[in-house]
Amino acid sequence: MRELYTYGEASIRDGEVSLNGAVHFKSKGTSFEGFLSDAYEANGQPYPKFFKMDLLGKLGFIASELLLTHLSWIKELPKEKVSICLQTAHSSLDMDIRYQHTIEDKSEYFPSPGLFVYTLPNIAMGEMCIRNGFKGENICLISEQFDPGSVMVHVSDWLESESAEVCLVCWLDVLENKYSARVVAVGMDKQKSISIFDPEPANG
Amino acid sequence: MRSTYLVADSIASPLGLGTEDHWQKLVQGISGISLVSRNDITLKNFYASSIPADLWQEWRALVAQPQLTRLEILMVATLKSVEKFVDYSSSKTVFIFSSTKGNIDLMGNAKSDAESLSLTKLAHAVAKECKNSNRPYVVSNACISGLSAILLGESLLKHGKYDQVVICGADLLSEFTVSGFQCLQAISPLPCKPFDQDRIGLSPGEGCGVLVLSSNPSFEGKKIKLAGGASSNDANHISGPSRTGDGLAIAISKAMKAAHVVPSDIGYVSTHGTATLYNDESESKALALAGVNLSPSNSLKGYFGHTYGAAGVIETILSAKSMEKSLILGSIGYQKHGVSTEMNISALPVQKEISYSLKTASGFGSCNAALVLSKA
Repeated sequence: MRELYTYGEASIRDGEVSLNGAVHFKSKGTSFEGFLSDAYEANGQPYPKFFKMDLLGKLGFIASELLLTHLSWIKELPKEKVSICLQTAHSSLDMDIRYQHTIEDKSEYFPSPGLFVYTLPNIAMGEMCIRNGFKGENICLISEQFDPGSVMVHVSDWLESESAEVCLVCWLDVLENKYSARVVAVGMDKQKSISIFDPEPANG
Repeated sequence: MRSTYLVADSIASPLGLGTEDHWQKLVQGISGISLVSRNDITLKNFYASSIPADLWQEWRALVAQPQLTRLEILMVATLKSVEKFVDYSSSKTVFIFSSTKGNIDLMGNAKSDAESLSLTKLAHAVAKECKNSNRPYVVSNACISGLSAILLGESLLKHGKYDQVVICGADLLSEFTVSGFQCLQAISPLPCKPFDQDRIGLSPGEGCGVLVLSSNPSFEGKKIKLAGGASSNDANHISGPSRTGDGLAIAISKAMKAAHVVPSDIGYVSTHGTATLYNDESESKALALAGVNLSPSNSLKGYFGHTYGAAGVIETILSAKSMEKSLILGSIGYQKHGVSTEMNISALPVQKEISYSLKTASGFGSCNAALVLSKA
């Protein structure tokens, strides 16, 4: 397996959105959803679909927008050359619980298609692809923590076979207002790198 | 470079337990779909591939840990039916689970919490029951999960991280998913009819597929290998396939390139073919874009319904079986061609020597996957 490099990284945790380790946006102390809306506004570019997304999708959107504004050359690559590998601990449970409320009471049984379509963890990855037109490889795994090392052989197969030029290695997790996100752009070009990619497990 | 061989497999569905047992029924056109009464899911009878109570009872008796859930029992029963072919307890064996919703039937149960619904907890419980101590992988990538899991397994074998990978794909019928597909108006009021003019939706199903992959060329029983595969995204819509099929076509083309084959080499296509209006239309266009729409093809959804996380595994197992037996199963439910692109589908079984087969899948979140099998 060849050495993999980090081109850039965006993360969200504890009310802060960061780019390459530097705080880019800080929560004004509002709720989690308020924080996400404020971070969206701060990002600039309007994208009305943001408001329809579940929380997992919003986390992924904010982190990937920030990273890809910084690494805008990734958006210029052939679309099938940008791949995504997503890990999450709680899958779509946050949305599953919301959907379940619409079918729980048999006298008020109104299953919501708008909620149901978000009851899968890979939808957040699909939202990033739709936003940017990315058509490359995708995989979504459930993992107790962000553990890119466990799937690095797979990601490096995509990169080494030239099926992909870049992989957005992502961690998105949300449940009951506990959340964390990381989106790391990884590839094999040392010239573009800010560091050697560190596949060690981390808590978000 | 190390190859990936398909060395052992089993299927559990309303039709029974074991691949050979299924094959005997499938060649006769016997389907697992029937009009079922499942008051735990909905008060109205509906067409689905639902595992009957007597099979649950048989399978529960095979399990040592009494506290396992229904889905865990389904997985363990299927895994136990192949344990004589593979050393589950070896440190060079790892499990990859493929499921879209895991223990979702526990949702709404007063005792359910984040832990009881966790797919990683489920994976650990099942791996433990099989005495495997490596940390299991869990793929949850909508309806391409099974193929994604197989492709991940290929990478783990190729780099020598493990010598055997056990893919276990399963999902249950539940009130949660049935109500969801009902509200999307995606469930057919009659048994599903993939690629047919009168198709009006999918039939939900439940089941499990276990596929053991090995890099050991001297493994007894290896007849088929994984020649290549890929996934892709349509970048189109979170719950609707692309109108052009270009996303799936990218995955198919990449898979054929990885397998070093051209479209005319593909002797059989096992489609995703859910029998929803949009999936089948989009898939037929993707097959045409990739140049494989005239290869003989079928959809197995008419036998199993749509088993979500299990579908890709079950259908890959049966693609391999078709190659071994030189027989393409009939695409039941298909009568009048109902997609705009020409295809080569037969409702009855067709004898055919197959050197390479293609398996496709698509799912919510705009995702697609394809893999090519070849004779070993």
